Amino acid sequence: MRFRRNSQVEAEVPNSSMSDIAFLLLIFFMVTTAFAARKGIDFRLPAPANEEQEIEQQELKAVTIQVQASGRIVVDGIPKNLGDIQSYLKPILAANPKKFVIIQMDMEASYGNMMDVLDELKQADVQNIALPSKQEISSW
Amino acid sequence: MKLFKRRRGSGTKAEVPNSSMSDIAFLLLIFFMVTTSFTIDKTPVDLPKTQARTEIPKNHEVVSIQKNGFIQFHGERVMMADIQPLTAMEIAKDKDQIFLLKIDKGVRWELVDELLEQLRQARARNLSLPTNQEVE
Repeated sequence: MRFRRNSQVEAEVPNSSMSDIAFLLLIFFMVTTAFAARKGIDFRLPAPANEEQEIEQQELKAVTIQVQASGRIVVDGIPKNLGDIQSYLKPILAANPKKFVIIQMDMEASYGNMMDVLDELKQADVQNIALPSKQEISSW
Repeated sequence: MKLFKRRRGSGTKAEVPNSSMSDIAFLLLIFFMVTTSFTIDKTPVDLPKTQARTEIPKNHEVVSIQKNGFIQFHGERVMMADIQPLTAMEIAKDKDQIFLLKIDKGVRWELVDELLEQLRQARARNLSLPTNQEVE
């Protein structure tokens, strides 16, 4: 009786399409990806009940920044440029790091105007920032 | 007489080495799989630019206002009056819930003021205002 000889072809897992699959998945993830890590500015809203009293108490002592509809900025009654806010606040914060800064927005101003001011305040390391609403401003 | 002898071609075939191709592809694949996030809000808004920026925590609810005043909460179009009950529901689940306010820089402050009032009434406390990097 004759036994068959082993064939010369080696047994192996076909992996030629492996890179095709990998690239297909890769393209899928590249197209659908959106990087979750984002950056921005943190802001803490006060509790509804006690904010009015708190701001009223602080109002006399606080620095008030008014942002007008045109985007013009008035700090404690003096018109200032955006770039001058930090230098104005520096000596005040050095004397009292917990100094309140109130941003009073004109209703016709834009969100971008407020963020410009908030950016300056964050850079100046202001700890207490108040952003009174329309209702609160009218009740003062 | 021939001056130069023509060299015979060597036995091995010239080919681009592609054995590491799948390794590279899988490496990139894993990178994109790890960094990808499907739940991200893709509302088209022109964010304000700031220099002061900190990392935004991951577990947040997105509230967005587009330039035309369209408001979205968790990717769904809502009215301003809906913000307070929706926020209150989230706050009931987790009182420290972070709300990501994705607002176009051209939106009028009156609208933003109203939104902040709604959030405040619902006792939301932690807000994150995403911004783009300002180039000096």
